[in-house]
Amino acid sequence: MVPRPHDPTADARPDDPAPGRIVAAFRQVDGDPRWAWTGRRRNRRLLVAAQALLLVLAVALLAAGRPVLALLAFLPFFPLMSAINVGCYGVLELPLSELDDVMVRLRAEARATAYTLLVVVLGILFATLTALFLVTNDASTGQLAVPALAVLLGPAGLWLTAMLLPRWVLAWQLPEPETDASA
Amino acid sequence: MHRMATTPNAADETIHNRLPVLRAERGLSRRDLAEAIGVHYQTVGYLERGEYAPSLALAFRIARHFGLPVEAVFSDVPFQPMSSVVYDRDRDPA
Repeated sequence: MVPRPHDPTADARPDDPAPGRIVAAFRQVDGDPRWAWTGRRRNRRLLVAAQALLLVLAVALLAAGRPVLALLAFLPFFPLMSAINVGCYGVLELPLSELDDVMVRLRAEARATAYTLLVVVLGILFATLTALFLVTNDASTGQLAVPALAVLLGPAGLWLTAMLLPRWVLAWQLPEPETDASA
Repeated sequence: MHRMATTPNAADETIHNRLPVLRAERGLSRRDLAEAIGVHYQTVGYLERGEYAPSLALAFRIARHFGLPVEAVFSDVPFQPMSSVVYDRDRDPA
């Protein structure tokens, strides 16, 4: 949460509009000593590990046909998410106008790293499913199991989209080039 | 000095600063300085430790806050300790 720099003309302007719910919540907890433990790196990493384990456990329970237990396992997900968000000073949740430029850079770096991880995970998933598909289908007969193909095409589509989207966004947003670099 | 997992300042692009000295001279806490220049108090720590370099706009804002030229606060080469700068000047007046 970024305090606004002192602006001598501020008195001449109407007051800022009331902050949104998320901004107000972060203003309340930012710097609150009761939440200071969430800012320590070791605790943040423990929170991340706990949340990841919780997700795996919930999915495993769901796959094992225990939906009620899966739901119960999933319940601490949201308090953990809140603690991680507070520990990260709201860098990923707050609107850009509430972040200083270093925090904006932190957000961009986190997203870039997460994007790379996502592409790798989707690539591994695609490769694994392709291997399974080739093992379980006899391509020489020309007969393909449609559900298996659908399962295979899902991650392939996601993988392709994840790789293409940044290029599309960049190509769309880049400013006009200099026509005469020597000028 | 600890670097974050992604290193925003490559070894040859580190921006050095005198923020801790200037802050101490004026008796400002990190939170005081952060409020004055409009950044999060953690950002002041990141800048002081050289883990992140300020944007040009932020560097100017910080320099203006201390009433100094920006090159007196930030530099791409390490600063001499203030004590040695002052001592040398006293010993060898121009």
